[in-house]
Amino acid sequence: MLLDILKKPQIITNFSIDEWNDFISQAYASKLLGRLYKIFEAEQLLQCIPEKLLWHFESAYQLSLTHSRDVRTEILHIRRALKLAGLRTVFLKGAAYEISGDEVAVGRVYSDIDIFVPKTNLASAESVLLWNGWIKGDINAYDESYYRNWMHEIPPLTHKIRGTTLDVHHNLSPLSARFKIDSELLSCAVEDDSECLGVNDRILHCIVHLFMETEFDKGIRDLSDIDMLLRQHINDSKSLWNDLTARAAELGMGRLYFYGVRYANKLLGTYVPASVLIDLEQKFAPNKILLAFMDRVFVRAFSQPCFLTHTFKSQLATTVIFIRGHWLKMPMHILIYHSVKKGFSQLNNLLTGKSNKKTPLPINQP
Amino acid sequence: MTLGDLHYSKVEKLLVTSGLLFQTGRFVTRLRSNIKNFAKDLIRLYGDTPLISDALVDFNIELQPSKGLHRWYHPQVNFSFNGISPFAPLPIEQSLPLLEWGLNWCVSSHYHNKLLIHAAVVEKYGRAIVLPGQPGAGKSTLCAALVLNGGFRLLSDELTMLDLQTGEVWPNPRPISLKNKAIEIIKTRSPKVNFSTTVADTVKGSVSLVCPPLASIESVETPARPGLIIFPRFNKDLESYQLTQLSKGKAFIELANQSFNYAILTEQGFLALGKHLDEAECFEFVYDGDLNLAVDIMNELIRPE
Repeated sequence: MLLDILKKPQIITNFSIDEWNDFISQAYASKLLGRLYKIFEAEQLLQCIPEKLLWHFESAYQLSLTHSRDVRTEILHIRRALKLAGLRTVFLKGAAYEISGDEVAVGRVYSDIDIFVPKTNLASAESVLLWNGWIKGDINAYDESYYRNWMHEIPPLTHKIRGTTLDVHHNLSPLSARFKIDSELLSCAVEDDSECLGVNDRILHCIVHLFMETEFDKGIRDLSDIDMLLRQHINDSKSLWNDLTARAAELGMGRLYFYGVRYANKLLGTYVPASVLIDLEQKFAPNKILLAFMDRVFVRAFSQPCFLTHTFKSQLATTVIFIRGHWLKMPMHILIYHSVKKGFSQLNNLLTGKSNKKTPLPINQP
Repeated sequence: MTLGDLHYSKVEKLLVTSGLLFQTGRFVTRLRSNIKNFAKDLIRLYGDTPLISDALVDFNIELQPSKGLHRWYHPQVNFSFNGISPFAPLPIEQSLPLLEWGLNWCVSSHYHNKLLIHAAVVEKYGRAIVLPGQPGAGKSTLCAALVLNGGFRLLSDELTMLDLQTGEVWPNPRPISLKNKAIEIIKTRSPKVNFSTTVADTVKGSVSLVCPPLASIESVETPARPGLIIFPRFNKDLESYQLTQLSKGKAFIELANQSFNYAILTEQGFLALGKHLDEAECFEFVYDGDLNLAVDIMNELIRPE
């Protein structure tokens, strides 16, 4: 349903009560209310939202304004800290959209900020952040080594006063992954006066991020990010499409790029020139049987937020994506080792009923 | 039709199937739950609440027994909002308090069309008495006494909602949550009032919930003008009471600090709080726990000239 609304917002004008209720639920689960507010505003559809439900959209948008302001403040702090070590900061994902003025930044809520630091500078970046108030989270030795040895980022840091979370990446895909992205290529790609990856790399990173996920909890929002970035920056220019395709090939992520473009086009109606679609299919598509299988899995997984799906087929799709994501992230021997380790800790949680979430206070103190 | 008009088995059936739709303060909630006997607790607490069918839903929530092997020897309950679980599960006996805390969380983390302040609030003669207070200050106890014996209308026990344009207070009538000793004190004073079963050993000690009066539920669309802001403080060693006028500047800062979304609403929040304070008088009220005296003083302060 959310996909249909993103594709054609006008359909809300004929919604029944039940459809509105489903829509609001799905929009909360996908964290898309803020973006939808702006979409409806642009399409002059705000007056079609039932008066009793309008506040959900208004409040989410109001919250996104605060997030945007806070992210901008945080960017200043991170920039200042890394400057002390003589390092230039490269922001990724949401913070990069914010800095670049990408349309996907509007109405967005953030859970963390992501930066990219080339591996050679990682140690000094980490120290200077720790001196400046960021602290390491409370994670066990196994998780720590999991991050350090196999992942593309170090364990998340939290600022001790502002409480903000910072993810420091030294690559865009896990070190152990089957798709390896040459981070040297990325470092070179950042222009001198910029603090973000270039447009093509921003789009490709967005795609890698989604199609290597093991959980699709924000899958619809991420697919919508891909759609909006492509619409804003590439749109119908054949030469821009060719550049993007060449860059995906150069980074060795043609297959993921193919999926990103395919499903954005299929599910959200992103404009892709016919010749580009054919070109991508010839260059990067898997064999027909696998593609048919992937189509079923992804179409199902994107059809509604995974939190709200209880049918067998969608659970199955979620499971396939979970396994596929892990398979992409690490070779078999590491995967088995990791699964056994995690399995034991989950078993422990099942037995004791422990959880790493907060205990609810009678009311969350302001 | 109210929730209390439904037969127990019907409520139970709704809870396990399509969900029970009912009014929770200003909002419509759809609740699903497979917890045994939960329908009984719900009817007792929300019996006077309008039942709704076929309505637009604000909060789609579930309270479900958590899965896992420990369910056989240490059953737990999990709260979820549109499939998202913001909290760790609690022992299953705490289902009812968890519903209340979960609903408070639903409002305080998502509703930014009004300025939300962590304070109890009651009304008389059309004017509000806002009672902010740190936990243990006795705001819920005082609120319960004012509502149950003092002829005040309950607007809210936890969330004071200020209109962004007018600074008026909008009601959000939901059960009053009493803790520890306050439960017995209020029960003795108001034996006829409906209480939920007392749940022991929660993060805040024992908790019992008091049904909101019917008149409060029915007047959910009638806001109250600014009146008094009283910062209550309980001090058992004090003889009688102390009532000290508080500067509006100090009250402003206190209220902004106690607000959930002051930082989100920024200028709008500042203006709403300013509007409210322009028309309100502010006091610090230290008392020894004599609720009759406290109710008399509040009556004296709120009486029109």
